[in-house]
Amino acid sequence: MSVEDRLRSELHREADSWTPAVESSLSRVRTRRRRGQWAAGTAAAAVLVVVATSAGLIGTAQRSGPPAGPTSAVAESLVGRYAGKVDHPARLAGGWALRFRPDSRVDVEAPAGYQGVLSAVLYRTDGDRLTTTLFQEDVCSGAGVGSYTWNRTATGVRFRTSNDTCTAREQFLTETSWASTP
Amino acid sequence: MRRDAEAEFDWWYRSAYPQVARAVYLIVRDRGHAEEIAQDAFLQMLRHWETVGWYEQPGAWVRRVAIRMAVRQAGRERRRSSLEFLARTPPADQPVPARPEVLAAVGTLSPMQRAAVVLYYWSDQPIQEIARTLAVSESTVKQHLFRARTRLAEVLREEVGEDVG
Repeated sequence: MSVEDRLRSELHREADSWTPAVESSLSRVRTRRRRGQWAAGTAAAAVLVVVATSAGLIGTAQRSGPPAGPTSAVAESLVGRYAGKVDHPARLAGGWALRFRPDSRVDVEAPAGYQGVLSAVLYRTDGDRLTTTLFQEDVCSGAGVGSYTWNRTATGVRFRTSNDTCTAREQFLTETSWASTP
Repeated sequence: MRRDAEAEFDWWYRSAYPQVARAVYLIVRDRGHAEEIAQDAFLQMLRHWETVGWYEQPGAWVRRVAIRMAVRQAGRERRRSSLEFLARTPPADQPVPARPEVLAAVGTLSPMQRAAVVLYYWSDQPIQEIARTLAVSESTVKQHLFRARTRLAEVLREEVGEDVG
């Protein structure tokens, strides 16, 4: 095995051995942001907020529940389940289904026996533009999100590449005929 | 922050944070530091969200910020523990293990070489994007990759294969 192949293999193995905690870190970032905003405010404003909070006039917002859905009203039209027979890439060959949910998550149904990581897949749309983390924890490990354009067809949906460094995901989405299914 | 802008930021955070944190980890070799650096980068993103949120690829923006922070951190670590780094490379008069660990060998590279290797061989980024991330020219990126591969080949006692695109 060449240096390059060993590098790729070992870097991927090392990176995939760690699953960073997303929600707790997001909470910390938001907390730090709020502290920074407080520090930048006046002392009088800070005192007023503290007093009002103590008197129960201001609630403490707790972020919980599923992530917010797509922000574009048009995005709702991609919601649904689509099935297709994937031929390319060969390592993903077989029958797949993608369910785009209103809460920005994608449920991925893989062929029987597929061993990859298919959880926590996200998507968002802005008009006819789609951004997704599909396969980011799997065959696209190391790549960022993929950007595509999408449009409805008579039987389902079609994707075209805008920007994606993951060839496997690009082939999976753009070279498969995705048909709407119940 | 408006509620829809908040939701958009949260989406980008959830989609990009794992890969950004992993890329930083591969450079600084410490998960705790990697989490801190990645969160610092996303905090910058949150502070500038009114602008960054309009970019076509906010995830690419925060990754660039995080990688630059990681390179600076790795540089500080390297200067602070230069003797430790030297110790990772067996001196010439000591026997070299038959197959030294690849990742340990990556740890002997300079921070910029390490970042170039991670972005090229793990993130599969093109040279142009790596240059933009590291704020150097494309020829500089190619030099970093060439020197890194040569250095790794020496440590690993392997042949250097493909040319860098």
